[in-house]
Amino acid sequence: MKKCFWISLVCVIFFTAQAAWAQKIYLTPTDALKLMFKNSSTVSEAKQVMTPELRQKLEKENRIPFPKNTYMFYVGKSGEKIDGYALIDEEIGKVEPITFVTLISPEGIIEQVEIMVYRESHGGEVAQSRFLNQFRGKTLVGDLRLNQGIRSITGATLSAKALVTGARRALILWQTFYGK
Amino acid sequence: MKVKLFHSIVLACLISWVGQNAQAEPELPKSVGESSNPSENQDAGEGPVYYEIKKEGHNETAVPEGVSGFKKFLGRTTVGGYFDVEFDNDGGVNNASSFDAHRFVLGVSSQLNNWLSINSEIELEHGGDGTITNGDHVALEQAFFDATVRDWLTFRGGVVLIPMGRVNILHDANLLDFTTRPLPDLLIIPSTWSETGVGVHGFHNFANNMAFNYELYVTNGLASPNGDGNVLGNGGNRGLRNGFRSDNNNDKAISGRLGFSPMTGLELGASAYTTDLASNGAGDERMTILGGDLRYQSPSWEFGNTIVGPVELEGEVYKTFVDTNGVTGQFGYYAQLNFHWFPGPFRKVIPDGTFTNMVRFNYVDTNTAGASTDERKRLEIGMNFRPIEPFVIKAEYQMNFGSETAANNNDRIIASAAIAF
Repeated sequence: MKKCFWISLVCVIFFTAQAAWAQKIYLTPTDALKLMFKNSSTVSEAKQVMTPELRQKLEKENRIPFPKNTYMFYVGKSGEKIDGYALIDEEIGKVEPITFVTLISPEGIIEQVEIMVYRESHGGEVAQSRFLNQFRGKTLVGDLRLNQGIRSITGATLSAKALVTGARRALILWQTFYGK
Repeated sequence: MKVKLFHSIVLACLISWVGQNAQAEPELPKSVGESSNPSENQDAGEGPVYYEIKKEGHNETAVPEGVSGFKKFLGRTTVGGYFDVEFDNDGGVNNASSFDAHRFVLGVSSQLNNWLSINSEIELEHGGDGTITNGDHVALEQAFFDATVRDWLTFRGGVVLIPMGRVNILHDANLLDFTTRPLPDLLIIPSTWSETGVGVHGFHNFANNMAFNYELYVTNGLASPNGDGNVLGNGGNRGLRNGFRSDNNNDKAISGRLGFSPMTGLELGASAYTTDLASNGAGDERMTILGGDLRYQSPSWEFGNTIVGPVELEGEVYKTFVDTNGVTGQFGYYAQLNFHWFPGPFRKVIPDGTFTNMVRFNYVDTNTAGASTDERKRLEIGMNFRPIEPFVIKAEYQMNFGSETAANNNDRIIASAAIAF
């Protein structure tokens, strides 16, 4: 009888947990944009479409996935001057997506990366400022690679790798849509 | 019995299915910032100025309103774990060459809200039929709640991992480069070592890239199996692990580790543990373990398409003070060097692959006042391959020497595969 109970319990947890989100919310989208554009007077949406041809080209050139059909950039302005571009995006850590925001300057330099929602049970150390500060100043032509410009964290390697991939994707998209 | 079992499983699956489908509520999109309306995807360019993101259809909450309490509970829960299968050949001296389903660990975690979470691991070792003392067992490895007040202050209670060194905490088979754990983490630190108790932990990051973290617990403590405070000679301390139900005396164990990282990639740690081994009425047989650990990880470099590095240096050292019949102290250390690399041509086929070459030296003396039979030395060389980060295939050669017990000096060939899920 005891055995039946335990097996049943494991089955319930296993089958329901497949669609699970054990998430820790650090920033809502509104909070994230307020943090990214704290000195801007306006923030506007700029939806960028990922055509199949563009996706194929970018994935072939960069060997990272571009899974969305559209990418929404948020453009912060002070008057007519653009302060920066923010992209809210997701990348799979171990099994769950990590939602994060990347702020890119008008020159194509990462100014800030922040975790918005972390859903994995292990590896949450990537949300610490000490890890995220490593992204500041990174560009596409630099050392934005795990264990090169970005040091990994033992026990959180997959999450660290996901954020590096996500930040690279943000820069590639910025370069595609706004770069000169 | 079988019919009952079948009915239970069917019922469980049904409950699960109903739990997931009974409500017509939309699930929280894990994709933020992408339009759900395909027609909108055709419109590119700059949109309206706003700050109220919520109006544009983004979810501001973790769980959609209207979802039942039961589903909320299940929805917050994740299941993961790791598994490793090993092959061990010591020439037939201690055991026949054999495959071993060493560990299957199932972890269940739940983040109840932004400050409260639970984490657990249930371990089936060697198939899991027996008791914790003979190795084959099903047991809780850890099960605790974390209540976070600040980054630097989180209360933890339950079955906690004792924070002695790094290996006991980061012990998952897929994270370790060698199949076997270092000798000091088997004989002095009886990893995986957990006890029932309460404590605090936290971290703080300084602006100049320095950081510190700490863990401090009060737990039931190790216990002499005979109640008289004796430690176990050349068998080390593995037999001193107590169950999770009750203490053998009124004297609680205190353990703690302070980690300091002066720069990214380097961490130094100091840890301590003290307890009374003897049962109530059998006197005070105090055992105190002091430890130090170090880990340095270099950056990696890219030559052409070949990745070289990172190089990692890690080590731990332990000194035990104990005054029982025949044993007055223990000493042990290990030093390990890992070199990661992956050739360019391989990256075209396996973009996330990594090779690692390792070398490790271990020394343990489980009775510094006793004969040299209590000494053991081990030199290990090995290599592993990770086609993807959660899966590793390992092979190593172990040279054992320095002990007057012949069986301890036998060389071993060990291979294993470990996967996290």
